[in-house]
Amino acid sequence: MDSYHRSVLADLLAQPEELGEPVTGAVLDDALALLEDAAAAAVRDGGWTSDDPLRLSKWLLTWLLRCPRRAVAGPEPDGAVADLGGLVIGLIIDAGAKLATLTGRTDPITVDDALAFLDATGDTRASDHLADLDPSPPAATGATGANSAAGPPGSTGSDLRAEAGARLARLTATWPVIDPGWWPRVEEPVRVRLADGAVTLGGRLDVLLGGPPTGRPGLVIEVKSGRWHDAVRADAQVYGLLVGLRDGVAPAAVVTVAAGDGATQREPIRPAVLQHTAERVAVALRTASGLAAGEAPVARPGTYCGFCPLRDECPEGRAATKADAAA
Amino acid sequence: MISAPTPTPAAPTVRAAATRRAAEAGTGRDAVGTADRLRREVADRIEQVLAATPAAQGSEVYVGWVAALDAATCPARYRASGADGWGFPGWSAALAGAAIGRAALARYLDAVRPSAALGSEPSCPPPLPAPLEAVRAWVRDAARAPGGGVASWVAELARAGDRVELAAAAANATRWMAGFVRVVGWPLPERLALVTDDVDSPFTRRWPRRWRPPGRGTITVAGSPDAVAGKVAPSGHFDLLVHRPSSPTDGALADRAAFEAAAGALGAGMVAEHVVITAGDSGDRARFVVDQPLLARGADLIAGVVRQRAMAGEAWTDDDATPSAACHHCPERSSCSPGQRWLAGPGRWRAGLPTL
Repeated sequence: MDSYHRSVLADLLAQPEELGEPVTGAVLDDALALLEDAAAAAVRDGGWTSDDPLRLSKWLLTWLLRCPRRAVAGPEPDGAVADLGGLVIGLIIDAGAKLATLTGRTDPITVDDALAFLDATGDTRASDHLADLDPSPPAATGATGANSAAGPPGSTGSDLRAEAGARLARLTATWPVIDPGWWPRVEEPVRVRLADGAVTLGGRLDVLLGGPPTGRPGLVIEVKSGRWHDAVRADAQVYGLLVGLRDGVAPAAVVTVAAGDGATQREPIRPAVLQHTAERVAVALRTASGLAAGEAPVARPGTYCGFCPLRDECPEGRAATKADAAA
Repeated sequence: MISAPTPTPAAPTVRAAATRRAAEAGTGRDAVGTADRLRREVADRIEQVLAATPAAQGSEVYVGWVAALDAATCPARYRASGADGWGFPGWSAALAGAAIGRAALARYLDAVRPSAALGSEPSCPPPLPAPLEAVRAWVRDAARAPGGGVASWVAELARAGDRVELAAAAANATRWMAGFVRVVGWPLPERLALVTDDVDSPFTRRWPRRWRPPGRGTITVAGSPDAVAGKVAPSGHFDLLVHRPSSPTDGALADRAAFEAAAGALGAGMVAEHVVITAGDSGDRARFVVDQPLLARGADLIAGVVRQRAMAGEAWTDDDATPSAACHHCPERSSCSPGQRWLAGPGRWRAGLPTL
């Protein structure tokens, strides 16, 4: 990371007034009203109830808007994951950022630290996959997790550890020590009930700082293990809406930190952002109600088709993948 | 009883059902007499269960909220859960969050208001705690001078140098405390005592958590409120407060209130006035009046656990299996016919949508 990127988070925490005035009041009331109307209409066709609701997560929302067929594709056969290596690196990076937030440690956070943190929180997917790849890992992997047994990229647990370790080192080396008055919280769940609970809109924040009742503006930090891409802005906006509806005051900004390329992006949560995001959620609710009522899911192929569980059987997806390969 | 000022700009949503029940509440309560009758009723029902299942006599039965929910939602799954599901599975980062959060908040209150006592009039509100810092301070204390319960587990981790597991526990405790303070309000309501193992603090109390039916030392009913508001006295003008980081479904929410109302009455010998359940993720606050229907539902839940635990000694059947999303993780999913049918049909729906 260059010095600009390194300073973004630290500077924001040192000068919270730079974040601007958080949105409150009528903007959030209007967004909630729009969502309540959309949810009530969706429930009429979808048939959800408070005990068996539509649980609209960020993932589901994203795919309902991007490709409804992917939204209902279900898991891979036998629970496989198309990019398991990417998932493992993502889990390690997330865990490392959370450890850095919680401990304020000045010594490096290792891949093993991150894996132990994941295990302690009940998520053993990364440890299990690495154990499957390398039944006898090196005794000590240090900060980068690298060893001399590296083969082709991604082919062994050592490769994965090395890649995760390099990204983790870049990320945590620039992670600021956070003043306790910011109320640092990791894995904060946020949920908004709509239509008397028949629809819930929910998410889990990597790191949440400030907001009520701290007296400081809210700031959400999202950690991405890969490179920054434009879609992360939409994720950030959803988190801004969720926290705003829950707390009655929106976070001033969502900062996305991408460990893959060191990019740091600040998404100010302005009134227009909240309004636009609520409209996107309303569109997703309409799509969801149609799917629940039996409508055929529309396919909207894109660059993501290669990772879709339906990649072998979706004609639109196959055509798009073939065209990409030809180009 | 809980009427804390809420400092957050958005008042927590009070769920409609709970509000309706509160509006219909009567007065003229007999907190002690009602608890006595409940004790007799639950004891009688347990005796009937054990009389019908002689082989179950002497079995250890731990009736906590998790068991009550499991036994009520799918009796077959509860019976299949084995010793780990029937008893306390031991401390873990996930389970320790609330216990550490309560203890850390109490320690913080002790530190900033050393002269304050339960029920006293504060001259000025204590400063807002910083949850992560408060949790760290409590963990340091626990490592130096471990007490009982969760503190001894934390001390063991500290002795072993397991900083990562401690960090995971601290994450959960911080989340619990931050959510509790945000939703309940700051300063905390007057006469609110956090339930902890340490009763030296004026801000805490040990809740009489356990009740055993007469002559049945192997059966334990244990409520688990996070705080008690008001004076626990025969007048019954006190509330039990439960704080959850994540919202349950409405059905589970009402059952939690019923269970805590009944288990609390059995343990304390007095019926609380309300059960208040708050949720950190949504900011919701649901308040249930403790009335006869709520206590009756709680008694059903408690007796249901004892019945299913007694039946667990017999050959496992899926006759009363009640499929749900829990089937995906059930240890008997491959041998449960209703579960298999559900997984192949409605269970293919995820998050409220069908899957291809």
